[in-house]
Amino acid sequence: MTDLRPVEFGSHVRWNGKSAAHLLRRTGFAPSPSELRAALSVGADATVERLITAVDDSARHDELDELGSALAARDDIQALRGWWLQRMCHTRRPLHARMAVFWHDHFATSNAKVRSAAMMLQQLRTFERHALGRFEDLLLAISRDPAMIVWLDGSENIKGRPNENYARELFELFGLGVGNYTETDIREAARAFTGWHQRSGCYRFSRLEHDDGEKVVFGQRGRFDGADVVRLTLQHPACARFLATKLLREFLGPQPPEPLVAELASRLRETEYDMAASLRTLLTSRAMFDPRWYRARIKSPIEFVVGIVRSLEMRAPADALATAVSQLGQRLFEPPSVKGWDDHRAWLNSATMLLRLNVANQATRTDGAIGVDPSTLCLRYGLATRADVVRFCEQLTLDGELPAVLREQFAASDDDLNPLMRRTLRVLLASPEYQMS
Amino acid sequence: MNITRRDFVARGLGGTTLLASGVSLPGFLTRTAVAAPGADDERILVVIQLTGGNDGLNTVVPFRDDEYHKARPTLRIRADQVLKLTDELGLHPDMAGFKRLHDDGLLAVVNNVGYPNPDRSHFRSMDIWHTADARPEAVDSGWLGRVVDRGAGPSDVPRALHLDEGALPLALKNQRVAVPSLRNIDAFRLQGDTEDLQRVIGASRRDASDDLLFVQRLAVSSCANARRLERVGAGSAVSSPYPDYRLALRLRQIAQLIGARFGPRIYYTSLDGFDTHARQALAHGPLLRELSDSVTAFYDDLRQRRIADRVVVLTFSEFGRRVGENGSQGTDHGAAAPMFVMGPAVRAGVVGGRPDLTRLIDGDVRHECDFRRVYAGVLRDWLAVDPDSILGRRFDPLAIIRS
Repeated sequence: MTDLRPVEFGSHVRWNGKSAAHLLRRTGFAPSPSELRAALSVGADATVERLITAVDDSARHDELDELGSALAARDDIQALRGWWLQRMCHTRRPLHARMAVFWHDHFATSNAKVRSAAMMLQQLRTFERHALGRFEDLLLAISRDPAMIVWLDGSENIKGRPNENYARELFELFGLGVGNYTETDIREAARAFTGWHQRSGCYRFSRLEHDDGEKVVFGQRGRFDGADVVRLTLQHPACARFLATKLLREFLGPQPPEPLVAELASRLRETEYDMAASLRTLLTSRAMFDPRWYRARIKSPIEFVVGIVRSLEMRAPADALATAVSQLGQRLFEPPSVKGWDDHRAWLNSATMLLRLNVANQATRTDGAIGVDPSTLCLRYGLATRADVVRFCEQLTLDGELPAVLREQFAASDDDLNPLMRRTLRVLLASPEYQMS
Repeated sequence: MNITRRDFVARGLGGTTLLASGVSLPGFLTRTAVAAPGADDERILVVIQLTGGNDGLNTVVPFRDDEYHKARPTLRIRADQVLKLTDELGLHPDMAGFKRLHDDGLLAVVNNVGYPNPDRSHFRSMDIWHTADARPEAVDSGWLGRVVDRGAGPSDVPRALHLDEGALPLALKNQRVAVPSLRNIDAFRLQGDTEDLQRVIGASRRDASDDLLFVQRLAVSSCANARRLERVGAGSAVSSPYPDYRLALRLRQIAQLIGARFGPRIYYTSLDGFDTHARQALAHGPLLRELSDSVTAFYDDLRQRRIADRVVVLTFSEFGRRVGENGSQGTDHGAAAPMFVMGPAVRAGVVGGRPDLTRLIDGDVRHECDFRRVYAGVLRDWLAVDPDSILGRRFDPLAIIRS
């Protein structure tokens, strides 16, 4: 049943705590008890619709928005990193937040070269604005994005002396994938982008440095400019497949099967690369709820840390978030290269794994910077017995699928409720299963 | 002390927790848990970056050269102050530790190291040293990152480690597996009560996917790493003393990790503050003392651990400084400068003569040895990696390591 026809819940796949948590993890972060309850009560279709159309109008969100500008003005990239993560912890639009990270990874630009928090923030806002919009708009906006122009030497790209850096990555990493274009296509496309410069953090078209002569790209001839090349890229048969593969890796898991790639690619083409429409199809499809994808992806550091904070309704200082996520290997605004982060197994080595075990410890200590508050949770969710506490913890971390031997062990404990919750969560957050989404 | 397989099983995952809990660990997990990733004879490279542009002329001083004394009316170091290495060159008086390493046959100086058309921007020149590539195109991997990418061995063992403040240096950037970057090794300790944890991690799973088994194996080996580290950490109470410097603290941790066979072959750390544009003498001596005393203590520790033979230390800075001092009793950005290569494996002594201060380029010391020749020598003769494939083209490897 790996296809994009609408899922029908019934005896085969049920809409229950497990499938709802799966959907919410993939489209955002590990859900809090109230998010999970809301999803269960409205059903899968309405949940997806809410995710796609959510508008975050909380006062906290506006506050954080202003803070971002202030941090960027101080050129404090580490603080901006923490600010971004803290916004993920608070957002009511988790899908948009995940897509902003997805685009940051896709159009991987590093402040190591850009050296301007203001430009990085401006780029992030572009990702957020177009998070679920049309891919063409995003591709065009990124082609004119000042941080990207610095990152891939756009300002060095002038008539008579084209710099191929951006054109190459546009084809190789942003739009088509290797093997779908020639070196001549790159050279000609680079000419089309000549004069697309930035000055002091603003896009600026230098007419005098733009080569408006005839170019041949993908066999088509014309006096193309950058916008034409973006259009030609989207029309290229490889583009939809390239993007579909990447989206399926993100939402389903590694190695999406070929027929599914073809199906999503055709959905992307028929919606003119409308991300909201394409994702609506994917997220409500049979493939989305195919058991083979259940806990089939290794969580990114962001999914791991922000998921803990959100699902257990913790307070988390920005700096602690930034430090944890960076140490686990995902230093926002500084992807390792223009290829972005390698996902899945590449997130983990014995060092980063150990750090995850320690994050689990920190989050459940009595004095951790990012820390759970058992008494509040017990009160809020009416947890009165040890069995309540253990069930609550298993539900939130492993969708209630705790191996029996461990459940007995926890239930046999004679701890008080608060230490029992800390102890139980500590091991569950550190369990191999919890590292998977 | 070597940790034997039986010893480890008895003290580690095997003995106390898993058996007691009655949950059996699949065989391959047991093997992973007990197999220490670093072999006993594995060669280690420790890179210390001197950030800011170290003044080479006041580090390795051409004390007989009149040109030097003329160019440095206030900053010059007199012949009777230097710690002599040769008839012409001597170390800054604060570097007694390096002098001792030299006399013990553990220290090589490669003098006048640089690259053609030197760039005087900190950022740009640092990038050139990190990528080993002076071409203007963006290179997104570092020379050590490329070594990591070529590395064989299990992917769950970190092959390089950045132990420092700040972001992962470009030198360690690579394409394949993330290089961990940590401020200190406390992060490598398994925190909190571990008994429940190891029971959950070790419990056998029915119908586990390959990916889940991969994660489980890592979790088990992480705990094993932490245990190894704990044991070596406990043993380090008897290790030789270190001075109270931040660099020394980091080197002590690196010594512990090497002793624990934690896995990385490459360690990277730095010492910042060498951008001495004004009143240089106040800052430069203390920095050189921190470098010299810290590395010396590091080797004393390594010798005590009987692993000094396996470790080579390399220092570099993005550039040296102008020959002539400026009007603020400081020096501005320059070009070629010395590198230090240390360890029992190096050919001790001074490579390259004193800088020719009558043949300057734009007021700077001209380079006689391309830094990539030093890299190539270390790559070929120490890390046993083909230097050409790492450096992208042929540089004649400098024979700095004893064969």
